[in-house]
Amino acid sequence: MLKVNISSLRVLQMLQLLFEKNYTMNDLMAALSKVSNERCSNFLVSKYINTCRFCGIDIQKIDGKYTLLKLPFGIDFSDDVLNLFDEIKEYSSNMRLGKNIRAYNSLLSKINKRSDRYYAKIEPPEDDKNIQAFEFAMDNGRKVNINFKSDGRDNLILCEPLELSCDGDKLVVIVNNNGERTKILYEDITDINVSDVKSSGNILSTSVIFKLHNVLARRYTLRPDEKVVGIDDDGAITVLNKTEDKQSLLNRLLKYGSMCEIVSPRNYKKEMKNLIDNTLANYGK
Amino acid sequence: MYTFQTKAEVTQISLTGARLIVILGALMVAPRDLEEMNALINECGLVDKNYSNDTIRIAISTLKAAGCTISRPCKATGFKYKLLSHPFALVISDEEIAALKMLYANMTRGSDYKIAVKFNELFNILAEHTFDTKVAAELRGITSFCKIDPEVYDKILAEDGKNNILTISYANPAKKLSDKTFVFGRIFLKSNKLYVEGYDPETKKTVCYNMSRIRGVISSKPGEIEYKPEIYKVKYLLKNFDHHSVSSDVHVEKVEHNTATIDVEFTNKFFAVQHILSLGSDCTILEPEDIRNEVIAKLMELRKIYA
Repeated sequence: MLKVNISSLRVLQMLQLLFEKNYTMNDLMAALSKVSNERCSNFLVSKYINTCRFCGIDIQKIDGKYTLLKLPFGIDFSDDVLNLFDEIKEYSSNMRLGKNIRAYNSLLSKINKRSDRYYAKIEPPEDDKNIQAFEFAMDNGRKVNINFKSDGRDNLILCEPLELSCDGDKLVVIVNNNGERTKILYEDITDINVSDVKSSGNILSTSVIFKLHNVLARRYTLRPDEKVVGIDDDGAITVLNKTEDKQSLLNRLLKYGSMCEIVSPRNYKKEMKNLIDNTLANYGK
Repeated sequence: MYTFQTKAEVTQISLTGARLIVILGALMVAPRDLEEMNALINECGLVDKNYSNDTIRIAISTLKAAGCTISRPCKATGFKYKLLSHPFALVISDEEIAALKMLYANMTRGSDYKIAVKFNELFNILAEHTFDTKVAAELRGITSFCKIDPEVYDKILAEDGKNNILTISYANPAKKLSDKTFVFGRIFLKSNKLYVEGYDPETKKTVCYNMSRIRGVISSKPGEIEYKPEIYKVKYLLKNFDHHSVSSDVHVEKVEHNTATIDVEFTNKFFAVQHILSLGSDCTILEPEDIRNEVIAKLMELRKIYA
């Protein structure tokens, strides 16, 4: 049996509780009593808090709750990374990225508790009703009706919400539209409504298979969720892609020229042919 | 490391608790032996005496009881205690990783490579502070820079802005090694890969090397040859302009009826052609003629494939 010092063990146990969340004195006493299996009085808990403070661990009472703010021996970032935090803040502040920004802020909270500096969170503009509807539908497994403009026409689709993201400096929503991963520019959307239809569980039925030849086959870096499903004797590789939205994928494969060929599905081959014809039409060909 | 308050400021503290925090902090920074830990406690002015080795060992046991994993001192660790994991480590959720990936993918698109390097540093630090090996591997894999030899990575990054003549050992896609000598030009990011571009004084051509294929930097000498890349000035029309994200290296000459006239400079003809093709039917290249012809030729070849 290991010989331990009970008083110092309690200090660490209390610190561990404060890493997880903020506590009122009564709640902290109760939580520490539960963890330690012995009654921890106000006097003892105050002593443990003072011990942490004595060692430079910043614990403050904010809104009646003891809050861990800084740890003097935790994560330390270089000036470059500090700069990056500012750049992320600048980039994201005007984006309604909903969950993504909440997730980033949650990570920053964890980092702040483990560092002796404070990294400012992003304060994005308030989510509007369309974002709220989109995220509500994602959380509750429901489909959404999206009204949006495309090529000057009004469109209405019933689809499954997948992700709120950005494409460069544009906010986009990614949806499963009849099994096809589709990206819609947020600025083109006029309305998003939560429907009563349950979503199918994020199953995308479109699997795109393309073949890469020559030097591209040797140099190609697989994207996340891509896999090689075949290698020919001449070194050509066959790649399966399941998650990239159609337009982005077609444009990306087009840039590889004749070193890339879509194998299936048939409608993607047809759309690639249209894309090539439309592009050549720009040159009168 | 510590900013101790004076004892007068705090009425009640647990000295054994404070001692334990000092030891935990010390082990979080580096592996330590008993003497080093004792010295640190003394340095902090926590007590005026040396603790016995047994007292420090009890502190180590207490850390273990609190959930820390600490290796036994052995020859391999220089007879030091090494903190392998602790309950205060960062726990990073899938949603948080997804948010980081999304920010990285979008903020590095068309940007200076330096922002990707900063992200890489952030991901590596976060990976160090989580004891979940799967999460750590996922974080380190976001940038793909983990495929670059760390020594090569540091050396090449340090060359930026120096205009030195570099000789590197380079593995081509068939993994055949050869030495390459060039005047260092710049580093850039493309398709989440870092490339180094330079000027080959022998062939008088711009050269471009994937950093993950560089096996070593053989030499770096100051040179008198100036890096003069070939510049391909490309002008094109871009329809549906408001649907496209424009990177910082692009100059928008004018926009009429949502069609922009754009000027952009490339130092590599291949990348210029790829860029134009990636814009699909929204883009019509106006000049130069040779790149325009190359784009048309590639599209004609593709038309035959999909006929």
